[in-house]
Amino acid sequence: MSATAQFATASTVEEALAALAAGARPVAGGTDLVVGARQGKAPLPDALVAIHRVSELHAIDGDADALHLGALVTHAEIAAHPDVRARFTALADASAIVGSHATRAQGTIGGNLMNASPAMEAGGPLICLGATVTLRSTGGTRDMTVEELLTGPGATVASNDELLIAVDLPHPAPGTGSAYVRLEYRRQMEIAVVGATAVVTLADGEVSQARVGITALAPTIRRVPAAEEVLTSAPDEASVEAAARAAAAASVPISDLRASERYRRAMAEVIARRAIEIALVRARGGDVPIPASAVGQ
Amino acid sequence: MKIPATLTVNGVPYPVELEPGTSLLAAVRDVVGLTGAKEGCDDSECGACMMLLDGRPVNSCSYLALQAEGSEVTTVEGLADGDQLSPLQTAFLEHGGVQCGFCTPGMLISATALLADCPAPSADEVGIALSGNLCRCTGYAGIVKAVLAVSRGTAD
Amino acid sequence: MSATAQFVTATTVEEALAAEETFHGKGAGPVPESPPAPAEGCVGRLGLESFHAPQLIAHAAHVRVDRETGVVRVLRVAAVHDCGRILNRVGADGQVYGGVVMGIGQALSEGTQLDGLGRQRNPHLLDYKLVTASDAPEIAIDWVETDTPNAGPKGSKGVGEPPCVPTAGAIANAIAKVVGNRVRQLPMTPERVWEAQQG
Repeated sequence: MSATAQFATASTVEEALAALAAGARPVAGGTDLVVGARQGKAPLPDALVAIHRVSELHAIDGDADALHLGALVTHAEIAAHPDVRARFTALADASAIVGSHATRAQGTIGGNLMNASPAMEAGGPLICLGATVTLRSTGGTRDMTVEELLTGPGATVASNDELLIAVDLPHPAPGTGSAYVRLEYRRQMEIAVVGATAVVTLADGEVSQARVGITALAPTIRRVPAAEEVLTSAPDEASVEAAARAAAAASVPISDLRASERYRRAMAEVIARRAIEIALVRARGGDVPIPASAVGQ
Repeated sequence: MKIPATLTVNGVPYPVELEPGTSLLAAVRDVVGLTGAKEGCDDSECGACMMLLDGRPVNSCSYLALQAEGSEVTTVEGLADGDQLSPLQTAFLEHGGVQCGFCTPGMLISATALLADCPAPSADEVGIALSGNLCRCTGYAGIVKAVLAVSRGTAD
Repeated sequence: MSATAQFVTATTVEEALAAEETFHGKGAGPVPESPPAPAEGCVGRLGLESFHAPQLIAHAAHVRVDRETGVVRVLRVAAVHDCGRILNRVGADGQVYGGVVMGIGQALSEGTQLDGLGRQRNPHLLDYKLVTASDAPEIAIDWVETDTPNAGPKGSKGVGEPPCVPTAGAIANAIAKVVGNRVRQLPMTPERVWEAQQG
């Protein structure tokens, strides 16, 4: 099936970077790379370096300022982590519904980001939660926001010799609630038809900060500043609806075999509104079970 | 160019030589010779190929076999204790969880992974966990009943 | 077999058209008399006596429609069948569970989409959506075992096909009740249900 001529397994980041510098491509869980090869989308690279044994990339830890996710942390680990569930709930909402439990057990956050799908579940939450990523090569290290990393469908700013090492999420201010909702036809084994993320911080009952993101509605996952501006006021029904309309207006949906452009645009408003409503409930200390997508559908 | 490796399947080390692009499914079925896991879709959409990798579920059709070196691979053949079927296997038979049998190895593996992680799941949690294993015959009813019976200790 | 062997049980279409009588297949018992077939150009009729012992089926579906998205969740299905004498309860129930879930797939999510050249646009299981375990509802099953003349051995009738026949209809009726408008195409995807709601 494949012409992959070289295969090596790295034990350390340094070994992985040396292999990348020599032209190898990394593989971890394989839930995008190998699946894509089976589907005939793209053959396996000629040279592969397996990085799944690089234990230093598997840590979830953090300090007072931020949660640190190593690139090899799986969706299952993210969705189950108490800190993620409590403080970065939108990310838990997303990781809990990636593929099936096998996908979540093997698929990594690093691989998910570097695959850069405009429909990836975790992208909206990572962007709206202000996540940064660390890319490293034999030539050095650089950090950037997830928004800066993702440039188009399947495209990132990373060069071929760079490895995504970690994702860092700054701890949100107290009074923050977040949610990620996708429109799904099935509850599992799905890809987002449309998705929306909301992260809102309440201070004295008023929205002091809002982030709203749209997923599967543009070539990249992106924030909607117009929706965020509408929300930075009294979070009443009218402003929530206006924010949802702004999210829909910022969408450039396509028609494909899953849905028409017209339906996607209408659903962008519905799903954005739900994400914002759930984020507000959570910001007020209310409980909406993870995953938020299960609510109302 | 084949690379030598050792695959440990159901506790037994198998020396193999594999092309890098060989999937874990192909290696276990064709080289090791354990044909319990099935090829359904060959791209991670049906779960018929599911195995456990260090106890965690993997769609083996889409996992490179060479990456499994150093891990414990469990297939359906590893669930029974000699001739003694596992509680899950017995429960599947008793509760109508098997019809054509094609999804069954993957379902048993998937359910094994669930119960290891969550020993007392709700019916909904069972359904969520088994959603990566498609079945056309049973409508999942007998399968979910079997898993719940085992989790509640009401199966043999 | 030699190239010149005669297949004595075969007949050509031409011969069948010229035949005086229609011909019948044969099952486990004597063939009952069939009413005349008025269809013009009908080449022949295969009458198995089991066709004179039809199954009777009723399905009821309880669904929830998300009015804003058109997403339909089937909460519960009740399925009652008269398939004559049930010989193996676990096996027969299994056919119903499987058939109903297939019927739900037919109703809501399964559909081969073809492009203008007849190629399948959704050849993968991600987009040819079978019902999974998390979307399969509770299914209540009952059997009405009648004594039907011309039924099969021990009074049994067919069980394999009937269970996937009425489910989509029951779901369609339930959706129509909620939405106030009928979706007239399968599968009744969320977009189609949503469109039906738009009026």
